[in-house]
Amino acid sequence: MLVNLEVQRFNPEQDAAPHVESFEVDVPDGSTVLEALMHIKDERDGSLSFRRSCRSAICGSCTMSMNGLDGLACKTPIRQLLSQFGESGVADAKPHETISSHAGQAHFGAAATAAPVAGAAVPSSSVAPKTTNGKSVGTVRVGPMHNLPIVKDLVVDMTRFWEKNKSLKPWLVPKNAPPAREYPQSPEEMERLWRPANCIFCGTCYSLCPVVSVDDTFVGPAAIARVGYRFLEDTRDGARKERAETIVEQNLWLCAHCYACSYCPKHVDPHELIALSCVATIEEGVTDNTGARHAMVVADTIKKTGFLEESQVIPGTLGYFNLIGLSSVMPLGLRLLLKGKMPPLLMRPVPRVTEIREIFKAAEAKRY
Amino acid sequence: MALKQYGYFPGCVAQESCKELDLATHVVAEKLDWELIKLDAASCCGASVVNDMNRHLARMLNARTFAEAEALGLETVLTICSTCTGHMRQANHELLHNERYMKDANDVLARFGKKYSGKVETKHMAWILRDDIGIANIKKMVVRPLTGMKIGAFYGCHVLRPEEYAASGEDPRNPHNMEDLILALGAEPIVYEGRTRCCGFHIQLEKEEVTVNMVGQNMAMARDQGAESIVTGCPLCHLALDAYQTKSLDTAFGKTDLPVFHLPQLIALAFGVAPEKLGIQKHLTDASKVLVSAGIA
Repeated sequence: MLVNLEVQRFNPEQDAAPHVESFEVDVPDGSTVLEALMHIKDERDGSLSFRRSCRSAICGSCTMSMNGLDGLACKTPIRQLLSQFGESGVADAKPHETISSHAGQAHFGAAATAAPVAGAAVPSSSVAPKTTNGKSVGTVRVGPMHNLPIVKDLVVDMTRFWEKNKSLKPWLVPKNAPPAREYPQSPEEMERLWRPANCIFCGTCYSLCPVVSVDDTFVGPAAIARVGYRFLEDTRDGARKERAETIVEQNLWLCAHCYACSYCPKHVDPHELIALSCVATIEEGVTDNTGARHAMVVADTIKKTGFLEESQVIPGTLGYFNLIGLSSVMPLGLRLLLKGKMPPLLMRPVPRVTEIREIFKAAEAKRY
Repeated sequence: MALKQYGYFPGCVAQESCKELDLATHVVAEKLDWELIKLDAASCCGASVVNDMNRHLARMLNARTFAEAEALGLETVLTICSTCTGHMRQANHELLHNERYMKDANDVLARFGKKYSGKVETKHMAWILRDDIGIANIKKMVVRPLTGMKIGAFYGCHVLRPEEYAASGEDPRNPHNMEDLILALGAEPIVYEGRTRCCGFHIQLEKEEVTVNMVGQNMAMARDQGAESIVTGCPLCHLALDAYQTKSLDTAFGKTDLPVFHLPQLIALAFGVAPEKLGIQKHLTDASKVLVSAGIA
C-alpha cells in the first residue's frame, strides 16, 4: 500500500526550527508506523533519526506522536490511524471506520504477554484493504514525543523524565533485616504490583499529559504509577510515610483527572494508580495539603447533604484561616456573585440522606 | 404522554453555580416533548475526587443512584455533565464487571431496602439527542438557524476517556457528535486540537496558574482555527473556560474572549428561545457581541 508520511524533521546543527518532510512510501498492507519509518531510513534517507529496538511493544523506545497522539510506533498499524482520522491525518470531526486501539485485547494482565504484531489489531473484515492503483491510501503525521526537548528528528532528550522517576526513589527500602530466604508475597500482594510492573517506561503518558505541558514541576503519570504507587503498595517496603511525603512534594495532587494516560499502550492505566496513590498518602496521614483537604472536604459535604457543595469546598480546600489563599479567589467569587452565579451557601440535604451516611460507613470499613 | 421518559441527573454544579444549565435543559426537554424524571434523592457522582480518597465510595453512591432509577422503572439516566457521565459510567462498569463490587454495593443497599440489578445506563444528553432524536430531526426543529456563528466544541475529558467505559460510540480521539449538532443548528463547527483536551478544572484550587494555562492553551487553539465561541457539554469545563479566559491574558497563549455556551443553551437559541430565558447573561465571558452579530440579540 502506498502511504504518505509527513515526518517532522529537525537537525539542531542545520535547522533554526523543525519542519515537515513528506515521504510517499510503498509498504505491505498491515504495516506499522515504525515499519514505514524503517523503510524510509533503509531506502530513502539514512539520516532520519528515531529510537527503536524490539519492534514488539516491550522495549518502550519508539514512542512518538502519530496524527498528534502519542504511542508506540511499533504497536500502531497505519490502517488504525486511517480508520480514526481518515485520509487527511488530521482530526476532522467526521466518522471513519473506527477500530479501537484496544480492540481484541484483554484489558490488563493478558496484554503483558500478547503484544500485537503488525496489523494484528486491525481485523481485515473491518477495513477492507484498498487497492492503491498508484494512489496513496492517506497521510500519517509523525512527530517526536511532546513535553520533552528534541535532540534530532523524532529523538527527544528523556533526562527530565528519568529525573522525575528517580525523585520518587525507585528502590526498595526494606522494613527489617532481610529474611534468611526470599521475601514471601501472597498472590493478593502480587496482584497490586502486577499492574505498575507492566510499565515499560515508554513515556507515552508523560508525553500525553496536559499538566506536564504547562508545568514542569508535576512529576507525571509514569513516575507516580511505576515508582510512587509501586513502592507505596509494596508490603516489603519500610518507608511508606516518607514516600507519601515525597510524592506529595513532587506534586502528586496536580493530576488534573483528565485520563489522557488511559491511552497507555501497556494498559497500566496510570490514572487509576494515581488515584490509589492519593488514597495511600491520606492513609499515611499526609493531609496538610490542598489536594488531600480537597478530597476530604468534597467527601464531607456529600456525607452531610448528598451534594458536592461548591461554597463549602473552596474554603475547606484552601483552609478557612488561609487569608492569602482565600483573598486570591475573592475577585472571581465577587464576579460570580455579581452575575448571579454564586453557589448557594447551604444546600438542603437530598431525601433519605441517612442512606448516604450508611454507604459512607460501609465504604470506610473497606480498603481493597 | 411525553414522547420519551428519562431519569434526570442534573449533577451538583447545574444545581449550584450553573443553574442556567438546568434551566436550559428543561427548555429543550419541553421542546422535544421529553419527560425528565429527576432523581431527586440521588447523591453526587463522586466527581473523580472521591476516588482519590476511597475507591469504594463513588461506586456505592452511584449504585444507590442507579437503584433509585430502577425503582422508578427507568433504564436510561440522562446527564448534562461530562464529569457525571464519566464517573457514573465508571461505577457501572466496575459493578457489572466485578461480582464482588456488585455484591458489596447490594449488601449496603439492602440495609435500607434497595437493590441494583445492573440495568441502568447513563447517557450524556448529546448522545441521547444523536441516538434517540437524530441529528436530522433536530435540524428540522430549528426555527432560528445560528447562521454565521463559528463554534468550537469542547467535549470534556470524561465523555471521552477511558474508552473502556466512557465510550460515546465514536472514536474518542476524533469524536463528532457535538460538531454534528453545531452544523444541524445552522452554525459552522470549528475543529481544533484542544476540543478533546482537559480544561484543568479539577486542579484550580491546587494551582490556579496551571488551570489558567490549560484554558489559555485550549482557547488559543480554538481562536487560531477561527472559532468565535465555544459550546460544551460539561458545566465544569464551562466554569473553567468561562472564568479563566480573562486571566489567560497573562499566559504565553495571549488574549481570548470566546463566550462559552452550555449545549442546551445553544440548541434552545436555534429553537427560537430568547437568550435571557437561558441565563446566558450570567456567564462571565460576555456573549452579547457574538449573539448580536448572529442576529439573535
